Amino acid sequence: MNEIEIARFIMQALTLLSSAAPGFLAAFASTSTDAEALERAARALATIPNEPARSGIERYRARLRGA
Amino acid sequence: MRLASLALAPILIMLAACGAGASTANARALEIAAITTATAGDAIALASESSAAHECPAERPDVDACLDALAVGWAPVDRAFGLLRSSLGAWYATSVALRAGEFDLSIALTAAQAYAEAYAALALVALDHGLRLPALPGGAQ
Repeated sequence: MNEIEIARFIMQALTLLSSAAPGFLAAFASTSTDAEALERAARALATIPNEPARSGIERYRARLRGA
Repeated sequence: MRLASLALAPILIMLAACGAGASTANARALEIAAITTATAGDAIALASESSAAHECPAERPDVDACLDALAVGWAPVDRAFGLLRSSLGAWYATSVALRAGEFDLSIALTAAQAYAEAYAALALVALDHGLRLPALPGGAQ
């Protein structure tokens, strides 16, 4: 892999990352330590729902009942 | 599916190449994975809500039964998401242990690979419901 191929690979990876993980580029650009990254990961973990599909359906059911 | 285990490798390689130490590269990759998982959860919730509105309109007399049946159909997505969430939790635990010097990087990488495989499995199940989740970095699913 030459330098151009490496640069292209990094750009592709960054593009994929930025679409898959909003906010990634800001995190990447920061000079955070692993402790800070772990702390942010723990915060993101805490926001992950248990049953997102069911919660979406129940949200609609609640909207119907509220209407 | 085996290819999925390689999907996160580019993140770690890229971060390591940019000067991050192994533990820091792993922690940042974990952070990215956690954000990706939360985003995927939001996308699934929006998709199932939209599906419910489309398939079980308010005018239907059996709307509750319709929603119950719809929830059964979406259950495999929630099961796959639960496995993904668990694998991310395991990766987080190994990463904390890695930082404390209790594990070496290979243990965290194994956990990262398990996460990548769980993500690939979720993406396949979600596709059955017309939901295309973004590929993990590396593009292999």
